[in-house]
Amino acid sequence: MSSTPIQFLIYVLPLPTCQKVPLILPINGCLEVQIGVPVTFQLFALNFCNKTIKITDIAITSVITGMSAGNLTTVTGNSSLYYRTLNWTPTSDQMDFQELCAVAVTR
Amino acid sequence: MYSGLLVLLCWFIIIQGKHFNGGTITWAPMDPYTNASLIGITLTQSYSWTYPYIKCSTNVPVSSGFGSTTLRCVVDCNTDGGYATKPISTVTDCISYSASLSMLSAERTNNLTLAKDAHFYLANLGTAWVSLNYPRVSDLEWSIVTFIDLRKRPDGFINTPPVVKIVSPQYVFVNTTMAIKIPVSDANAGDDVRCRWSVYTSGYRRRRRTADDEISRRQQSVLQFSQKYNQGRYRRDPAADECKDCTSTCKKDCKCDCDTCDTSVCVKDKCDVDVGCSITTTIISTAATTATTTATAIVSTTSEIIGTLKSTSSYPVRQAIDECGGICYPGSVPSTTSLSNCTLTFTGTKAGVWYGIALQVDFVIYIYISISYYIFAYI
Repeated sequence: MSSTPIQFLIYVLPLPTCQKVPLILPINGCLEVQIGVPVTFQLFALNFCNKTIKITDIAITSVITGMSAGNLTTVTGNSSLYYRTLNWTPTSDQMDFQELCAVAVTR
Repeated sequence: MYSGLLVLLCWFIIIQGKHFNGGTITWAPMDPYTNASLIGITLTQSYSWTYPYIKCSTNVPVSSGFGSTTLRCVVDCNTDGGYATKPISTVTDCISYSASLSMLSAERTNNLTLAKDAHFYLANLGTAWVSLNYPRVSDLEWSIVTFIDLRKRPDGFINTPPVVKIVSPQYVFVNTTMAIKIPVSDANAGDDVRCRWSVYTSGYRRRRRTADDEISRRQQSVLQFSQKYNQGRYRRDPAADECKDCTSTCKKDCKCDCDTCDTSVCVKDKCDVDVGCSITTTIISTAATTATTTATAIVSTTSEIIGTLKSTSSYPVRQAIDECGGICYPGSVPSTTSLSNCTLTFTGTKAGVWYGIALQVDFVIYIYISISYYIFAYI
């Protein structure tokens, strides 16, 4: 037998004024990368609310070891689209699937 | 000076608690097929904290000016494989943070060597979550318990427990039913993984109580614990010589490993009163009015235990396993909350409220795997 614990908190937020959930792109982002070869890619978030609501963060909630993330940046000419640039050089002990989790936050 | 130091210590622990958001403890054998007498394992602790109160650096939360402790063996400690001689610190290293979500993740993997066949329960014990539930309850304890078992499985190797990861806090919207999927994985092919609510399991030689009794008993325990804190009388590290006789009688500040100790008075594995932990009137008189009924109920329970004690030690006495501290289901969540297939369905009816969720991920081994193996071998 074994038993692994997991404990976490849930915080109840008031309903947001705009309930359209932002979209994270690419949607099914499974990237093939090579050990030792630096890779750079962008994680986009698309805002469906009007201009009073903005994307305030693309939070990386579960990071891949060795990966760095740039600041939140707007796309020139499209105020609904924001992105962060991720840099990573996979190491030999990272063979197999690696998981990255991100949350787009509007406010 | 001495009392001043104690008060300072309590302050530290409580403040630390307000920023602790939960986590997981998992382990894995380095070589599941080893026959060595000493077995190397990796032990990984992952915790969530509140950013920016806890800074993103190494040695969380010590680097932010808060205290730390060690993982403690809580149950089956006579088969801890030598863990007690080299306890692991609960200090971890920041791996990511988000200012907008006020969350910080910290993790550390320690290598340790234990004797073969070791099997024991290891816990991160703490004293104060952020105020939880509605109406709010402050200073609820946490107890995150992992079961380390180096005994070989029926199919011949050491199990690698499931791994579970979820960021904390999870944000949900008021009056909206949200499904929170608990991401789990298991390294052993063919093993099935199940999620269940963490529970408080009373030790051996106790009258079996109903679930409701247990819950009220836990609340009573929490109440007494916070009262001890408020009075500044709680001591974390009693002198070892005070505890010599604790296998037969239960003294104040001793480890509760004798069967006369009642865990409703012995907070965690420490007894807060003398004389075998039998309930005294002092407890009832210091408890709040709402708690008196519960305390009285314990009195009758305790006397019943003493009347039925076994005189030999042929049955091992076992500590209670507290997997959830102050956040045991169902008292810790709205009544509509349910758990199915590692997905938590949750509806919060009041904004601005925190809830604590304590789950365990168990693996289920299918016996047919070993049966089919033997058939194959004979053919």
